[in-house]
Amino acid sequence: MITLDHLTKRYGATTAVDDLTVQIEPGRVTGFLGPNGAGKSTTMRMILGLDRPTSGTATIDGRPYASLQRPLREVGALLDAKAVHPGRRLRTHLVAMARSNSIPVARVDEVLEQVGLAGVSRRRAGSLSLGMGQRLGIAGVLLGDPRVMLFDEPVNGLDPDGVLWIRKLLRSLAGEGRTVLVSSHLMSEMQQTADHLVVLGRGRLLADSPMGEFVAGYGSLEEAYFRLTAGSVEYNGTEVA
Amino acid sequence: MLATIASEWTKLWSVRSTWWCLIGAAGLMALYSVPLGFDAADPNPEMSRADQLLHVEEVATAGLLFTQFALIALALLTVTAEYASGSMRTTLQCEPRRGRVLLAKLLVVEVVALVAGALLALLGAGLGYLTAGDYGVFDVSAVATVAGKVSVYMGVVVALAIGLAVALRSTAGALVVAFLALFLLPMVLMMSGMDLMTDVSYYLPGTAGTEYLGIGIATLFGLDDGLPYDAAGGLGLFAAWSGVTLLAGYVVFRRRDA
Repeated sequence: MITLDHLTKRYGATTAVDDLTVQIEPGRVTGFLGPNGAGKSTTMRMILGLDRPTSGTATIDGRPYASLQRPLREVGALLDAKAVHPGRRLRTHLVAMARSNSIPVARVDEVLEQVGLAGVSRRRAGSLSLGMGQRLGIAGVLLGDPRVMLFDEPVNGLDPDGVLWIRKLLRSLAGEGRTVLVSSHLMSEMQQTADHLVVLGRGRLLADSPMGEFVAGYGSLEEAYFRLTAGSVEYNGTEVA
Repeated sequence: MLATIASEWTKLWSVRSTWWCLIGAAGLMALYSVPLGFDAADPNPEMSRADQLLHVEEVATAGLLFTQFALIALALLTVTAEYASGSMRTTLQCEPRRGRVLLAKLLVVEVVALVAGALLALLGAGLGYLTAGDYGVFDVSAVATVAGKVSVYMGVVVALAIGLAVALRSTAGALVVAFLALFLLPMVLMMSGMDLMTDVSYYLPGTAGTEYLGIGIATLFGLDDGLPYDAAGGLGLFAAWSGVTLLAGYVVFRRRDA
């Protein structure tokens, strides 16, 4: 379980995350939605202890990330698929991660197999497509077999097979009782994947409700989402005639 | 902590830049020592033989003013390459206690710098001896002493580099500051001919470090008379610069968002 308690992040005059209090429960896929700049990625970084909250706390099963002894065994996170040294081979990248948390190296080959990268494990990360990068990032999430998982836009760059694969993966991970938080801008995809939704707009909590309730009364998640976030879109293009 | 060190060790040796930096250091050392050796092998007949002997331990330090930058690059890339690719976030997910991450990176780089420093000195001395023919003098204890000094120098200079790297996060930025502090700034200040600037230049890391090595920048400019410290004092001042830079880097590393 992830607990955010009055979590706030300000950069000078801008408030990226504004007094966010919400719990991400285990055993279900929680979709994390909001327009660009709503504060989803900042929130994820604060959960992982990468960014320091201006005020409030983010904890995992009651403890801040920085106090976890072997964090990869408790929390897995995919933030940016391209965040790998381009010159390092895929397998070595994961081996270095595994060593840091005393995870057996044999586990690296297991997760490479699981995400479908076993055949290219000796390639250098710089030569990967975005889709393959996402798979490598997912391998990193699975590596420590953690109870809590965060995915920031995991379907970006994946082909339709990959999208279907990740949908099934997320559903089965939640089915095993894990906490799964996924951000995405693809509403139709989210509608098929998530059980629960947390929606942000301009750093504030706009909704925290089960998928069924959220969509009720609207034709689709997309329609419900547009109604809810209409006032919170910061980066607006002009209407196409 | 051991796990974090093991992880950093794996990361260091799994990128090509580490090998290129080491090859570059060896290449630069060869580029300095071989011409010096050949020069000695072709003596001036009007001078005495004793005056023209090449004591090869001196060869080992001669090229260090430049050679060190290959190891400095190796050291700071362990940090700045992670910021450039975004993989610093992965590193901090693996070990969120930032002091431990910095210490692990430092220890791994120190091992490389201490060993590489000694090997580079031996390489320089060896190549000098091989090329100097009859005029080469290889005094084992003198060469060993210099190898030890170069090793210590490299150990101090890479700590400075890592401090700059975590403070500045950019390869180019850290490299430029290192170049200024170790090389360019002392020289420019000494060339100014102004007393105040010369006095300031005495306290810069480049002046202090090279004084310790016995290839002092101040000596190069004939200004060593005014130097307020000896070789040991040079090492102390140089190490103090490294320590302060590392501490400043640590503070930035802890406080700033990754």
